[in-house]
Amino acid sequence: MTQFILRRLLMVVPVLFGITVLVFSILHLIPGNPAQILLFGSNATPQQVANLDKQLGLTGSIYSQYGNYLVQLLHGNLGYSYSSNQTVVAEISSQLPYTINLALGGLVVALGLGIPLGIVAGVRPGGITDKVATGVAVLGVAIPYFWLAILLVLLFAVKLRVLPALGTGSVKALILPSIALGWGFAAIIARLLRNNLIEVYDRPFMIVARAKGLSEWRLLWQHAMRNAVGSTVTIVGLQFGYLLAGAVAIEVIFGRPGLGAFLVARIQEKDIPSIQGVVLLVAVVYLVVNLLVDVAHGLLDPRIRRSWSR
Amino acid sequence: MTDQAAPGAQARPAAPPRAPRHSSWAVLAARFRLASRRDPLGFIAAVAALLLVLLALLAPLLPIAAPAAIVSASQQAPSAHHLFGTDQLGRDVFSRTIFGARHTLVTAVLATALAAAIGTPLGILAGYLTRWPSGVVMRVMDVLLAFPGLLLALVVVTILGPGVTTVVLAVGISYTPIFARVVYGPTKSIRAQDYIAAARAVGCGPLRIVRRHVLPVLSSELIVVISSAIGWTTLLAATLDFLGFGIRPPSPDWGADLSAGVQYLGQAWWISAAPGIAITATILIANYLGDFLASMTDPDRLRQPRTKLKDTTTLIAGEN
Repeated sequence: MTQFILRRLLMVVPVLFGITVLVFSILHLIPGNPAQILLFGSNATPQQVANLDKQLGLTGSIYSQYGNYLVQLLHGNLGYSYSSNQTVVAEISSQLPYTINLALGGLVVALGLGIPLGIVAGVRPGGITDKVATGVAVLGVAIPYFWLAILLVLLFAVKLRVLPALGTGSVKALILPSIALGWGFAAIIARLLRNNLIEVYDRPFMIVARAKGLSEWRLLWQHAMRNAVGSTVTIVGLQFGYLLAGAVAIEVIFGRPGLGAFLVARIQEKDIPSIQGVVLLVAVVYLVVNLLVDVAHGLLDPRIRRSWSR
Repeated sequence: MTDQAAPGAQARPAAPPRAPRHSSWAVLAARFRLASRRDPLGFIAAVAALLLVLLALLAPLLPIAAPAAIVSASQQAPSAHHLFGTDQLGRDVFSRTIFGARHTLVTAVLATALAAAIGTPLGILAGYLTRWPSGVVMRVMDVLLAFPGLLLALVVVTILGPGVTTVVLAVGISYTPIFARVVYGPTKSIRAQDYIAAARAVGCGPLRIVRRHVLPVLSSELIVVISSAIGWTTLLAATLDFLGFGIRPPSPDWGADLSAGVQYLGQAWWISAAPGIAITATILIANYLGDFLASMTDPDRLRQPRTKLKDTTTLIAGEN
């Protein structure tokens, strides 16, 4: 077990390194000098540009700059925002709670809708429940979530006036954004669970279990789900990024504060340190979520552990 | 003695997907008919895809208003005269939706081509070579996959600045690792096959082996992924246009028009409904076409009971 966790942890290191390299290089891949972008509009003298370069840590070779970036990163310093002069860490931490609430809301919708749909579709493929569940899931995959958000606002906020379209104050204000964010994810979970259940139901041990007279209910929960849920969980982890990225458009539509709305605004302002901060945070969160999911999967399923200790 | 056993009795690794037998037109037509009978929805999707492409190609020849022309009062409800109504400036929404297809589809097709053109060779390279090059390529793909699609696309937008070309590049790069991952596994299992060892033994170079023995086996899976990917890239491109990082306002575009209509939702829902329906329909068509092509290219799929078929919607979730 320890060996499995250590091996899985070791896998994270090169990816983490790659993420920091990619995020660091955003600054250098942008055409033009960052200091000039910052002083854009004002007629900056070369002296001013040079001073600013120094202030931003843009002197020395690219390797030493990257080294500095890593050192600062380890000290929890993501630099200063170009547009507000606050630290990026302070700015991000003021936006983060809104996005976490939204992502959790989306996750609740995704699991609450996706798991039941996947079960009713997978237990009796081809039946009427499968057809309905498949219809809901197919629409979930096909309707762009930002358009779904608009439809929900139109129906529940503009026509029926039962739920607020904007604002962040109450739990009620979280309902529509969560549905818009979670439905597409629910569709993917439902499809995967259906595929996995269909596969499990065809296995010999299921035939034996049914032959010895187990009820369909116990068949489902004691045998089918235990086998089907493992790989579904892994995919849920892989798709967790969908929730984080989907929050971008959802926050913009609902006029909610949060990391996504913040990112879009800062891209328009070319505020590179803020962009780097958000991108880094999302990538690392995503990486950690997948690490935890894999470890959990290994804890639940000894076959996974063994496949890692070759 | 045990060493007298027939060579065929030895345990063999699971057979990889077989290459399509003979792709003459007659075989293709027969498979098309067979798949259509099995999957009527897929047949409808194939026809709809053809219609969509024709509509986009022939848009300038159709008897509809110019997409940027102001043809009547603003925010007119749908009528016989303006099928989908008019938008906030009095432009014909029907015409904008059809002309918008040109831009959106070209972006989606180019981005998919880009992702396939970079991702497939990388995936084959990683699957075919064993030692460290494989590890390096797949770790780089892991890094790219650590950024959710939209986020990676936004990074590209940050670097290149908003624009039409940027959207193509951003979407293409975001889907590159998916193509690499889709071909990586199968390439690895094909490589372990005896016929590859045989090809190498008679002196085939790696390039020839990949071209003649690996790619043909991968082709059916690739066709399916490419078809479904058109749906995913349509969505991502529309999202970027929706957020205002793509095409400039007067040009018709589904994502941009959808976003422009949001302010008028209360009075004129049709402004954003038309492009919204268009995006949804395109993704649906691409998904069903993907399933249909899977049935057409994979004979084993045709033999399975229909209700037990896996659909390609889950491909994107990284099931491979």
